[in-house]
Parts: sequence; structure tokens; C-alpha cells
Amino acid sequence: MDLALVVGLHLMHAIASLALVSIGLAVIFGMLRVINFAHGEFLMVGGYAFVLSAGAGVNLWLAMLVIAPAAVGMLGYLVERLVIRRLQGDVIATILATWGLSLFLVGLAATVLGYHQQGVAPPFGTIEIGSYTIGIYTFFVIGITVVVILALFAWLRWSRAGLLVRGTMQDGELAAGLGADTVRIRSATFVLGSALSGLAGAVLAPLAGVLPEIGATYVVKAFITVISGGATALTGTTLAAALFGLTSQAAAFLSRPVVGEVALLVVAVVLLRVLPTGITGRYFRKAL
Amino acid sequence: MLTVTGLRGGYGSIPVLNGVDLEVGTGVAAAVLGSNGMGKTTLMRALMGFLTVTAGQVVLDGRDVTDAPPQERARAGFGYMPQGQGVFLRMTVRDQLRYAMAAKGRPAGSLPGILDRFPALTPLLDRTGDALSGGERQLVALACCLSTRPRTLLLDEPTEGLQPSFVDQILELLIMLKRQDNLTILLAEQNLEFATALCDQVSIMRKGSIAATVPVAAIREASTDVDLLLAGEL
Repeated sequence: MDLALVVGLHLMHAIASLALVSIGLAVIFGMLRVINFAHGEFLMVGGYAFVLSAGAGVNLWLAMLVIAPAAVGMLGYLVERLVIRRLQGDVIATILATWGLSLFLVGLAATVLGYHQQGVAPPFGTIEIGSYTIGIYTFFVIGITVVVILALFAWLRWSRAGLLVRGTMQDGELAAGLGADTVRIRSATFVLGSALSGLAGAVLAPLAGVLPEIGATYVVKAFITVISGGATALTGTTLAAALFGLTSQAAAFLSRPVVGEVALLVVAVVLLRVLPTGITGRYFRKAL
Repeated sequence: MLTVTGLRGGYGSIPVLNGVDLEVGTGVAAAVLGSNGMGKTTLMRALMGFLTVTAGQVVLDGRDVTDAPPQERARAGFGYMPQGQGVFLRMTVRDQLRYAMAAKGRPAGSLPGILDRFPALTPLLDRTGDALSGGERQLVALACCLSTRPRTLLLDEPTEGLQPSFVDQILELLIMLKRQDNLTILLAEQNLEFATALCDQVSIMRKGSIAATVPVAAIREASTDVDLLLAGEL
């Protein structure tokens, strides 16, 4: 019974982590169709923004929930203004430019901050479940993921800004013809995706630590999750994160963590073979 | 009042518009007639700012909008209905109407005003765009285009591929709106009957420019043979 509970919590935590890592990319790539190869580095910058400001004595929650998203949101604003907008949807150029940006950010972090950055220990301590010990922070990660996803759904579904974003993503020309400032809407959406990545990087930092190259461990999983999710970015990414998080964590329990990683890739390959347009290419087409 | 002078433009390096001159007075409905490939849709898209023009001028109600982006033209008074059922496919009719309001910075809440004019949309409010028939989509597109009360309508073949009952419905609606709101209308059309029923003047477009402009009265009295005009034999 205790084991089942602990295993269940670990599964949920795996799903939540994957969803967190992917949610910013779900907005930037899933909705805007901008291939941001620097997505992992956006998470890394969020992690550093959190760790450095917390280390400088800023309140932990302020650093995690406000400073990290704001910092990466600003980074996203600059990247959209100076790079993405100028490439006007040229896919190859965008991949090259964001890849370059990724290398630049890694190099910058390694040069300026080095590899011995003091981390932040997970707050809250631990609790005992029978003979097992689990960090209370695990519950926090699950909780904040649920809150972020629900808030994003509600915002898209019911707010005026969410309405403008939905239409503009579906058909940019129709939107512009109706008078929507599509350039500004796309820019704001990019900033939102960046801020979500910053938040994710900060939330995961106490568990994963922060290193200049940590983005590389996130970016592949995030792209696989969003692509497998399909055209309906938010629902698709959530479902894909649930599927992949579940299988990889289950496989990791039954064998070793590396087998979990392999299981994720195998499931992704099979899924995309069966549903080439992702989960929402066939199901949940009317979701958000 | 819409004045187009010497408009040139196209796609990439392929010219499509070779100097279009056109004047549509306030409250006047003008049709641009021509067969496929003569540049009607390109003209409409150029007027709306979707392609770069290489020469010429577009003046709407005294304001030069030649270099303005589409959203500014929409806010300057253009209501554009694109060719081929311009609706958001994965959005409910209710949200599309709200979108049209929000896009121009109006409060997205007030649908009753639109539904008074388009009562046929009331039962469709919760359907998504891809669940509508061709005629229903045209009605939604027209309602979205009119929701913010534009002064000048650009209609790109609004009845293409529709069953006759919908054609009549859209025609009646447009005639009523034109009279009530003193709308200026520019209609790209292949259907001569529809064009003459709605419009006051008909321009013939041939190879990217306006070949002739005739008053509809002249066509009705059969003093001008449009078929010959279209074929380029007059």
C-alpha cells in the first residue's frame, strides 16, 4: 500500500516534470510554430535567475515564481524582436539562429557563472510514507504544474487575449484582415512561452540543479512531447507528457533509469508511426 | 470613397497587377468582373495589404493606405471578406464573432447587434467553423467582416460555389446593408447576374488592369454587351 502510494507519486512527478519542461515549447513551437532550439537554454536561464537571486537573499518564492519567469520573458522579448521576427517564418534560418543562440547562452553561462554554482536545496523537507521517504517538494512540483496548465487553459478559453491568440494562431491572414495586430500578438505569445519556460527552469532547479549544459537534457524531451501532442498544442502536450512520463517512469522502476529514457523514445516512435500528426491530429481536435 | 491609381504588384517577381486604376464613390457598389487568372483576387489582396505593391497608390476616404499593414487598413474602414469561406475552422461561431470585435479593440461581449442582422447565425453559435456548410461559412465571414461597421467592403467572390438559396440570401443582405449604412462596396465576381443585381458600376479586369468601366444601367438596357467586353472584343 505504501509502496503503491510512493510509486504513484513518483509517476505523477515524472509526468509533471515532463509537462513543465514542455509547456513553454507547447506555446512557442506548438502554437506559434517557431522552432526554438534554445528552449533548453531558456529553462537553464530560468534556473540561474532563480538560484542567483535566491542566493543573493531574495525570498525563495519571489525568485522562483516572479523573477525567473520575468527574466526569461524579457529574454524572449529580445529574442523575438531581434531574431525571430526578422526571419519571417523561414524555418531553416530560425533553426540555425536559435541553435546559435543556444550555443551562445551555454557559452555565456559557462564563462560568467562557471560550473560550481551553488544550488538551492528543495524547500519543505521530507515526509515518511510507511518505510519510504519522499520530499514534500515533489507535491509542490505536481501542484504547480496542474495550476499552470489549468490557468493556461482557462486563459485561452475565456480571456479576450486568449481569444485573440487562438484565432491568430489558426489563421494569421484572416486575423489580420479582421484588424488584429498579429505581429504584436505573436510577440506577446512568444514572451508568454518564454516566461513559462523560465518558471519551469526555476521550479525544477532545486531537484535537477543548474549547469550551463542542463538545457540539452530538457530540449529533446520537450520537442518529442510537443510534436507527439500534435496540432492542438496545450491538450496534446499535456496528454503526451502523461503518456511519456508514465511509461518512462514505470520502465525506470521496473529496470533502470536509462531503460526509462529508452522506453520514452520507443513509445514516441511507435506513437508517431501510428498517429503521424500526433495525438490531437486524430483525437481531441476541438480542444485548445 | 476608394481611389486606386496605377497599382502594380504581384507575387515575388511575377507581376500580376499592371497598373490598376479604379474609383468607387462613397455609397457606390462597384464590381470587378473577369475570368480566372485576370488578377481579381490579387487586386483585393493588394488593397487589403497582403502583398507588396511596387507602384501606385490606394486612398481610402482621403487617407493614403498604400503602405499600411492589413490590420491598419481594417481599422481605417476596410471590411475584407476573403475568397473561399474565410472562417476559423477550429473556433465556434460565437468566438469568431467575438474575435472580430476584439481584433479591432472593441469589447468582445456584444453579440446581439450582429445577431439582429444575421438571425440565421443564432442556432449555429456553438458550431465550429469546420462543421458549417459553405453557405453558412460565407454568412459567418460576412457577419465577422461587418461586425465592426466598416465603411468600405471588399468582397472576393462571396457566392462562389454556393447553392442558389444562399446566393439570394447574401444578395438581399448586401442590398439592405448598402442602403442602410451607405456602404461602399468593391466586389470581385464572375457571376454577372449577381454583380448587376448588387452594383451600380461594373469594371472589366483583363490581364492585370481595368479594361473598361460601364454603368450597370447600360448593361440592363443592353446597350453594352458584357460578354464581348469580357472576351476583349470591344
